[in-house]
Amino acid sequence: MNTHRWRKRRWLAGVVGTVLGLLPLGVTLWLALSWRDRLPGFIVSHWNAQGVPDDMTTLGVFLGVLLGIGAGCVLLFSLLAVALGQAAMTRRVCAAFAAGMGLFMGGVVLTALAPQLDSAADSSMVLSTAWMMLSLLTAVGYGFGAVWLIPGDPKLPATEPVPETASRFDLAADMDTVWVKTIEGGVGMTLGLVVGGISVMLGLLLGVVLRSWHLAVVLSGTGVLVLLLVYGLTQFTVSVDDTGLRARSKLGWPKLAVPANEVLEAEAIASTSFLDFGGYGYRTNLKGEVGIITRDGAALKVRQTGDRTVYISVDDAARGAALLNSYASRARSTT
Amino acid sequence: MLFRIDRRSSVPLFEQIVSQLRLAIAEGELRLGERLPSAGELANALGMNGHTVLHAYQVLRDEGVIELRRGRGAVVIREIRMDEHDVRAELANLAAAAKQAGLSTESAVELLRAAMETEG
Repeated sequence: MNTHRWRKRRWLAGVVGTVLGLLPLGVTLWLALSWRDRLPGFIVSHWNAQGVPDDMTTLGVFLGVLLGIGAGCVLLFSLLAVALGQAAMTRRVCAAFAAGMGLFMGGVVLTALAPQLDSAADSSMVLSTAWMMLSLLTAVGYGFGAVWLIPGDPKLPATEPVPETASRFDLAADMDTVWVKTIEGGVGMTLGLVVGGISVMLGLLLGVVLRSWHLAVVLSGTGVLVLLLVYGLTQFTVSVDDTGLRARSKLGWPKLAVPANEVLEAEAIASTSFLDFGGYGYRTNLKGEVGIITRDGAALKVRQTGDRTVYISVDDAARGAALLNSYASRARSTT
Repeated sequence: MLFRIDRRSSVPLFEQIVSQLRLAIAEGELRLGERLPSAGELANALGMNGHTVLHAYQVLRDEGVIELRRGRGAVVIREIRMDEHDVRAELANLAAAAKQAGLSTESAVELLRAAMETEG
C-alpha cells in the first residue's frame, strides 16, 4: 500500500491550511502594528448588540487575544487534517476551515481597528456590520479556494480478496443490477430546520425589538445558511452499481464515491448514532471515518483501502452491502 | 430499491423500469407516500437517458400510482394490490417445468411474455 504518498497528502493539507490561515493573520498583525501611532492608547474592543462600544483595551491585548484565537483555530484545523485526514473530504474541510478562520479573524481585527485610525477613543464609534459580513463572505470564498489546492485520494485498488464471510448478491449475467435509495433528512433535518428556522425568526424579532439590524442580519443570515446546509447535507441519493458506491446530495454537492475495486468489505450495521459522529450531516468523526448521518439506526458501513471507512444512514442497507461486496469481488477479477 | 436492467432484451428500458417499480410497490418495498429518486438521479444511477426514466414515471403517473412533483421527484400515491401468493406458486411451477424442458431463463421469460400478451 502506498502509505508514503498518503502521508504526504495529509501533511500537504496541514501545510496548506497553516500557510493560508497564518498568512492573513500575519498581514493583519503587520498592518495593525504599522497603525500603532495612529491609534488611541486604549482602543474600543467590544460592542453590544446594537453595535455600540461597551469595552476598551490596549492594542497589544486586543491583537494578542484575537490573533491568538485565530492562530489557535488555524493550527487546530491543520493538525486535524494531518491526524484524521485519511479521506480527501476531511483534509479539504480542515484546510478550508484553517484558511477561512485565519482570514475571518484578520478581517474582524481590521474591521475593528480601521475606523479608529487618527481618532480618540470614541464611544460613538459603531462597528461596521457590512465590513464584518464582507470578512465572513470573503473567508468562506477563501476557504473554498483552499479546497482546490488539496488533491483527492490517490487510486488504491485492494489487493486482498473480499472476505468469504461477507454477504454476497447473486449477480445475473448480462444484467445491470443497481441498488438505489433516497435519504430524506430524518432527525438531522428536523433538528436543522428547527435551529435554522428559530435563528431566522429570532434574528428578525430581536432586530425589531432591539432596533438592531446588525443582529437581525447576522442571526437571520446564519439561519438561512443553516437551512441551506441542512438541505444539502441531509438529502442524498445513494446507489451501488458495478462502479461502486456513490452518494450525491440533492444539491449536487457534496458527493462521495467508493470505487468497487477499493472496497475491502461492506456490511449493514444496526446502529450509527449521534454520539459516533457528534451530529448529523456529512461528517468526519475522531477516528477520521466519514459518514452521511441523518438518524440513528440501520446504516451501510464500507471499509475502504487507505484505512478509510464510510458510514451512510440508509434503509435496506443489507442488500446494498451484499451487492457492493459482489461488485467488489468482480472488480478484483477484472483488474 | 433494486433494479435489474437487461439492455439486450427486446423489452424497452422504460418498460423494465415500470414493471420493477410496480412490483416493488405491490410487494410493499415502496410504501405509500415514499419518494422515488428524481428521474435525473435514477437515470444517472442506472446509466441511462433521463427521458427514459421520465417516460417510465409518466406511465405510472397515468396509472395513478405515483405523483410527479416539480423539483420533488415522484411520490407513491396508490398501492397496487396483487394476489402475490398465487402468482409466485404458479411461477415456481413454471420454473420447474422450464428447467425440466431444458429451457434457458431467457427463453422461459419470452414464453411467459408471449403468454401474457395472448391473455391481453
